[in-house]
Amino acid sequence: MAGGIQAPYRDVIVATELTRSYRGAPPAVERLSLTIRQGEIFALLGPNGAGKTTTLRMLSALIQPTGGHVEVLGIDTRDPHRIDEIHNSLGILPEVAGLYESLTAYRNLQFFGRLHGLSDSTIYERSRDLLSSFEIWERRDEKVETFSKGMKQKVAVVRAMLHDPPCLILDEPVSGLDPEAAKTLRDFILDQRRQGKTIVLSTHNLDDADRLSDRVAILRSRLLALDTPARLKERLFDRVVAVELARPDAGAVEIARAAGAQGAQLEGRRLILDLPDAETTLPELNARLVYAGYRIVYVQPVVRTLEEVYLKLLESEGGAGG
Amino acid sequence: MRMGRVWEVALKDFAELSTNKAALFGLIFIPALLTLLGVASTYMVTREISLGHLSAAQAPAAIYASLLLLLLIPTTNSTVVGSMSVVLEKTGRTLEPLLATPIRDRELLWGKAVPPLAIGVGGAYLAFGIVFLAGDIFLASAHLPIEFPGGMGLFAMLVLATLLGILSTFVSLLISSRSKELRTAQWFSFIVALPVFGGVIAAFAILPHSWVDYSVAVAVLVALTAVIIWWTTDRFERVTILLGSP
Repeated sequence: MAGGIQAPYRDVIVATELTRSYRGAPPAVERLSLTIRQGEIFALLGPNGAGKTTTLRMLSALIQPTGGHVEVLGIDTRDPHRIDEIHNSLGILPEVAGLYESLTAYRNLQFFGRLHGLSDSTIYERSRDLLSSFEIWERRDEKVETFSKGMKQKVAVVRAMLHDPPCLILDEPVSGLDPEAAKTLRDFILDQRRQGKTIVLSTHNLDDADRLSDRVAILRSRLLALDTPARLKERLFDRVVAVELARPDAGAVEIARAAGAQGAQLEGRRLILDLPDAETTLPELNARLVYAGYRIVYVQPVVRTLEEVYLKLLESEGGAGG
Repeated sequence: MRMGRVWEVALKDFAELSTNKAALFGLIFIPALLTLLGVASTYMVTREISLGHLSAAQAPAAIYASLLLLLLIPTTNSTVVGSMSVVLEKTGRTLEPLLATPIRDRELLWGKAVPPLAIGVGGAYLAFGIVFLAGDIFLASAHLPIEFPGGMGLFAMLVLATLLGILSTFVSLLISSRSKELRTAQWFSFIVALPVFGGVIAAFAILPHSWVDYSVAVAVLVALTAVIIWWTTDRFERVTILLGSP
């Protein structure tokens, strides 16, 4: 059966207390629990060796956890009799495209499509639609070894999508691609979410994770944080505001501190302020500055990046890792 | 087990192999050379008998000695193809997407077993056919009162070739599934396969004097092959193949 379980499950993947150990090494993943909901883009972040690939392999039933368990659309991945259903419900893109280089792009897709139980006519139609969306249908009969890395990655994404799975698991989908190919893939991922697909991805590109994901999990063998990017930023950083003054001086810094700003410093003409309770502190501060004769040019929130969140979390866990 | 998936894996492997010129050369060159040697040996035996250097009673043993060499074909070809089979999926990073399909471990194993079996055993059948045909022609044209080892002799050789092909295939698949790179897989596969071949040669060098000896030796080889098939099937698990350990 291709296409897998088209079920009304809200929770597509549920991992409970997942642990994976390898002989003679500390656990690659330890007591990881998370739930991935239908229609969301869920990003796994973490330094090298944090257990992202191991986690993705367990979520996609390629390897079994040594502790805990995973359910994909309600099916326990430990059930060997239902592995077909699980793999028909997931589209998996490994870290490396993993195509048969000496075969043509279409022969690659035909092979994987047939293993998913698709008919040749379905394989043809799906390949045509998907390869055309990446503008490589015309090159379907060329050997993969002649393709660029970006093209190979596109063929690999098509392979993952061929059987129309409700959930995609993508390991570093845009890693090493040129900006144009990366954008095409990012747009494709967003388009898949619009169509209701669930997407789990691991990435080192924090900008991508910030832009694409609905929720992110930060891993270092165990789960350090899990939330939306916006909430993680809020949780880890106070609201930071930049107030540009026409003629700033040290007096403005004093006024800001007196008004309740926890951090206040001048950067050129901008007064950078940490405001834990911005809703009440900011109007008070503005009023005091104006009263003291300062002319405010503009007030602007300073946007924290996911990278700052990530680095702060890893730092608090003892070093940014490698 | 779905035979469609088994066949699909086999077809894919054949397609990949057909584009690998170096492997194709090796797989064709060695059997061709051995077949040529077999044909030349039967010609030499015929010639020696006609010249009176060899007695008619010595002829069958001399002919069999040259035929036994052809058993290298299933041993080497099945080992070469089998040992490449899984490890190249690992080094080409195609194993993970392959295991992410609904294919079962046994379907993958049997799909992977078809090409080495077909190439090793099929190649041996072809070689035996050619040498037997050539032998018949040489003996008939020399008008010698000797019969080239006929139906039973051919049958005995084909049984041995089949068993050696199966044994080499499954040994090399098991080793390939545990190896991380091609050279290791091929090296260890040959380390196991060649002594078995040597044992067969040693056991059957006495043929065709005793069919009882032959039957006992075949029974031992059948048992060994059955154990290897069972062991490979038992150990051929996706987690072990992917990670190298359970």
